[in-house]
Amino acid sequence: MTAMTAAGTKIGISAATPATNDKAGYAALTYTNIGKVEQIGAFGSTQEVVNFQPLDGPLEKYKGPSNSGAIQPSLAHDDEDAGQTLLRTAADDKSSKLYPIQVTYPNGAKRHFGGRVFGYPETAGAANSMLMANPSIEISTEIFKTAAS
Amino acid sequence: MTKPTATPTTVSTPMFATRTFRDAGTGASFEKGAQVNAKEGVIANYAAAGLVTETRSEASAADAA
Repeated sequence: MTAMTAAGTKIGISAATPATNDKAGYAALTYTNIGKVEQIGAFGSTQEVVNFQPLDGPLEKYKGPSNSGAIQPSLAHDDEDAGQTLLRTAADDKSSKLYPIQVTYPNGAKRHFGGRVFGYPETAGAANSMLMANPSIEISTEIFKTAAS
Repeated sequence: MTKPTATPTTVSTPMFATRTFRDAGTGASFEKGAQVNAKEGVIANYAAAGLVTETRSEASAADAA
């Protein structure tokens, strides 16, 4: 994959449940794109560092549990946007339902994962700024990567 | 591996918009009360978001969020 800018990256959400918890299962779903996205931010799996300090040697570091992280996309709040509305529905959902998320890069590569939306704070800033929202999506599955075709 | 069965290729029964909304992905927009024709998976997402309902009367009676 050659380097590229983030311009043209899209993020979508689905209300469906994948038939299988893998790349094919997530890719088969239909996603509704979220509009007015300013940025998505960093996401990806990291592993916890498990330290062990032996009496007679340097600190040893081991790989612990993995964490797929979270995203807090920055959106210009839009009541009429279908994707944002579904995202707000996911935030209001009191159950632990996983909502499939799809990120599509400008070259067509995709990232799929399941997430729970833990909040949808809105920001009313200065008069010369947009009314923004920064939903918090905790990634609760592996991140399935599909290369550009 | 089990083949996924959720591929939404069929067109759903038409539903009706409970409020005016727009789909950033498809570019489609719908006025409140308008008939919404789309593929099954798209309609399912709209329905989950409360944007469409099965009858025009329900759509007309719905309050905008």
